[in-house]
Amino acid sequence: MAFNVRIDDKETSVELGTTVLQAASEVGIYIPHLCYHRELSLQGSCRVCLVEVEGTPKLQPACSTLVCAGMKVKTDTPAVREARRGVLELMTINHPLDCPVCDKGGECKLQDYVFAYGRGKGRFAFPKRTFSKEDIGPFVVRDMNRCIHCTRCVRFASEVTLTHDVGAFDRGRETSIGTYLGKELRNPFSGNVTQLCPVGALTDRVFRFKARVWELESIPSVCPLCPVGCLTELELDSGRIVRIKSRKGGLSPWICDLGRFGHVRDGSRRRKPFLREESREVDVPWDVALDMVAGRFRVISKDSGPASVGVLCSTSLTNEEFFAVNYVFRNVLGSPNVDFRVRTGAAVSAEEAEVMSTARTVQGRISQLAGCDSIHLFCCDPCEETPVVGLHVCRAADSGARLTSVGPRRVTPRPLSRGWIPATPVHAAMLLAFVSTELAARAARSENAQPGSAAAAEGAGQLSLHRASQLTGIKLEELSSLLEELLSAKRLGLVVGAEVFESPHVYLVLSSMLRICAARAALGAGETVLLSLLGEGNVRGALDLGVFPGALITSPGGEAGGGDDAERASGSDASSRASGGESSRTQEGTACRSFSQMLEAASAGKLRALLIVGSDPIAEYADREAAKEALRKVEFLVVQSETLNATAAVADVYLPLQSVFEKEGTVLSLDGRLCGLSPQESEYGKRSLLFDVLESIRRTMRGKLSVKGAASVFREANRLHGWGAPEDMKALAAGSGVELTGNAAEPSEAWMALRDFEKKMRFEERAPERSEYPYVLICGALRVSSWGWVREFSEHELVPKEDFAEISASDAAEFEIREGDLVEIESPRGSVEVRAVATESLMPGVVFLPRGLARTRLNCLTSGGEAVTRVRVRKKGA
Amino acid sequence: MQRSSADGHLTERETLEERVEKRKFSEAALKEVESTTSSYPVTDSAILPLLHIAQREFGCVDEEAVRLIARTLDVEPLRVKETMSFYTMFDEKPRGKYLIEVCTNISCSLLGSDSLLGYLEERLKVPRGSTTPDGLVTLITVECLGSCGTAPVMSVNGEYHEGVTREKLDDLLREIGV
Repeated sequence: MAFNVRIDDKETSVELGTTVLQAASEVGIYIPHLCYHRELSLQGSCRVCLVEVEGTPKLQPACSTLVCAGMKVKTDTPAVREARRGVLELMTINHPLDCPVCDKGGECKLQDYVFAYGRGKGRFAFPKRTFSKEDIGPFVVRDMNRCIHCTRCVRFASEVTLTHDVGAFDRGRETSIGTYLGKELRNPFSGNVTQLCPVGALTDRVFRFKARVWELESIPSVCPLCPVGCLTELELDSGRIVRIKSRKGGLSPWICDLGRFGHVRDGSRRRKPFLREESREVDVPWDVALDMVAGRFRVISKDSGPASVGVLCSTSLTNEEFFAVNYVFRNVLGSPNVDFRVRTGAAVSAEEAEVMSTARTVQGRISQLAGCDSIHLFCCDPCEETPVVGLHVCRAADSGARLTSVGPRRVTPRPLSRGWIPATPVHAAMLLAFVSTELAARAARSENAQPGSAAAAEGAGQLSLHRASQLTGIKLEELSSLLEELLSAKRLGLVVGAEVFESPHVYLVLSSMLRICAARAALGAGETVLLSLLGEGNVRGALDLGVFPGALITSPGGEAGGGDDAERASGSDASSRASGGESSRTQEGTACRSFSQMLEAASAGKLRALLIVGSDPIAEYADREAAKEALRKVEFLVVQSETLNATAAVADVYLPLQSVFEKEGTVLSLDGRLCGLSPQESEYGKRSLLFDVLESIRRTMRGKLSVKGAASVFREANRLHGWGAPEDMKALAAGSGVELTGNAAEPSEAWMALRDFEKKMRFEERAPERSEYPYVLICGALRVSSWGWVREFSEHELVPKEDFAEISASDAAEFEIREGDLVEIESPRGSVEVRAVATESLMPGVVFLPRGLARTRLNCLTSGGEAVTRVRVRKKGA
Repeated sequence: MQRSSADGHLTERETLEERVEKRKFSEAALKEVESTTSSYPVTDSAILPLLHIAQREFGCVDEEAVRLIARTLDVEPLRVKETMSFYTMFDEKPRGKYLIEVCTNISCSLLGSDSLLGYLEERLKVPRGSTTPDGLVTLITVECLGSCGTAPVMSVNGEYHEGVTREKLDDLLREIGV
């Protein structure tokens, strides 16, 4: 129902439930406010927004007064101005008025309002109230003396992150905002409070004293650090990013700490190309290095065939770079060796590729999670891995959705962890397979079953819940209640953790998830939103643009079509035969090789030249020794990376590469939104240096499509993949991205049948409780709130200085390992030494060793071949 | 996470954990806790009544009691601490035999509660908000006691003393044995 109200001299029609403040802002009248924030609940405590409502004897707070029919509001009368002046004077009574040294200066609402409406001179002659300083962590500086008690930060922690870790203590003038027992503020979204705080009470420690805000240039961009693709605002000082803020119009008004602070890099980057001559590094000019790379790739591919050259990229590249890599290697050189999965690099069978591609086409939208009445989190802790996905789960939980989870780790924050079934990743995958086949069997038995689903019922005979319980040691009741939950939800969210995509069980998990979707559809249970968190960075771009071996079946874009395109792009009509020849040559080549197969080929001397872009296989590939050995046999190893990493240290040619914040281009979010990046300045310019390398190979090989820069490649990719994005990348970056509408697959009966690879799968029985290697090694990305990634730029005392691994609190107690003890983690392959962190969140019997630590490498322990790595933990010096 | 500064800190925290582990409501209190919590649809609402029970049971609401309440209600300890620190009737440390509460709101202030407080501090030789070393008297300030007409007002173990003057204070202190 809409009705008319009059605000000052403007008449407007608004819906029931609108507040005076919102109605005013719709007609362009600004009412000052401090405690009100459109994303948080109403508080109505600051009283700065008082306005006059005709017929009401006292002034009313505009933020919490609902409009009603015929209401007449006046926002700028002498009474209103007097009230504002009074409120602001009271607020500044205890305020230190230290604007010249306050980092908030220039974007401080209190400063602005006092300047606009204040008295100009204080009359308070008594000593000001002061508070002691409390250090609450590496990101947020707390200065209570400046606080005006708007409680935005408190509401943020209780309504948005559900962490309840900021509170208001004491009362009256003594009220102080702080953390429990004055401990650190540790949640993955803590940086948002610095943007929320209307005054200088909570300021950004990383940005502190770097610049004055009015001197900054602000450009719209998107966060490239995880596949969520949050919209960001880059604030530049002399072209370099000094601060990142969230931008309106995206998935969430909040960004995580990684997105806010993860741009800071230490300055020690190697920025010059070099050749290795007799184990000496010889600096060379760019063009010499490029000529050498292009020349050798040409000669080797001519001599030993296109299968003797290959490329490994990483998820930190843009879509344009992926497209160009695919074009130059698959189409121009005709090589079957393209992959981006540096850790597993596993071969992909046709059936597995099909499962992966189906899962991608049914991928739900992140925003759909908030509307689910039940969410199942499979081996993931979304607030720590892809934090903004976590926020959507939080929102669902806050509005009453039921949560279930399976995995080795309790989901954070606490309201999300109800319904947790602790299980190692392998057991979790098994459990899911059994539960899904049971569901499929029910669907097959149901009255409206199609004849085709009989196969599913048959499969379920062998895979009963009872057997699952035996194998995994999880109680049968827990399994059946999980199954009932998956069945009874009206709108079910299924979230698959990113780590699953690094495990050999990824296809089993995805196939089980698809089976659940199909069974629910067949049983008429309701909608199912399947969301796979996929991995890091621009992983969705890598998958969609097909820079991995399984891609050929699903994505002809970069492959067969590329030849045609090259011709059209070059504008030459005479070359159609030549370009046709190019693409057919690809198809003649050997079957596509995954990275692990490339390494095998290298060991056999069949892969002679390899370009590695942005990744570090010696540090990352599951079998460290195998990678080292194989790469040593590669005759011509080119590494292009941001830093001089372990692999670069053995490269024949090293080429620098800009960071992901310095390149122009586009990225794809995990739910298929195309977003544009805005680069900061770098000494190498905004065009990715990878294009130089690819272009020189392309030119030497006489490929048709020039890959000189992101803009032209983007146009080509945009047209070829039918993205329908604006031609101008800058316009793309300024907007909120383009939803790519693929042909979303409907759940089909066929998904319910057991795949061949599942039938072949052997589930190992539970390992004896006290074997020689009693713990299961769990890995995953560094958790955002572990602050392990902050070490690069912060020396704050709470930032872990040394590498660490997590064990469960009960295991720690049993073996008398205390937090901070040096422990040795040993597998049959090797051992690492780290500091122990005891946590209540891990299930007993597992050790969590994060990736991305400074020195400790997971692949010192893993061997690549096996699904589970078992380790033992020994306290050093014991 | 490991802390660099930290062994001392960690030890301290661990002993707190141990103390928290040991803290329990008595049988009788537990019954009361159960009947209280079951009468609220939202667990948060039971924080205040449980604080009263804890104050009665333990003589104060210390860190262990805060954590006990948080655990009982499955809420974050911070929520309990916020509520507890807002109200003057919960003490972090055990209070003295006599609790003197002096109102500092507007009527009492205008009629000299601040100078009375100063006098009390002088006589008791402790600042407001603390307990005398012999555990006899705890002196705190409170918000309005609801008797503005007879300001300045103070309360000793719940008993109101109205229109207080220095002379009346002297008598009172003599009575309780200061």
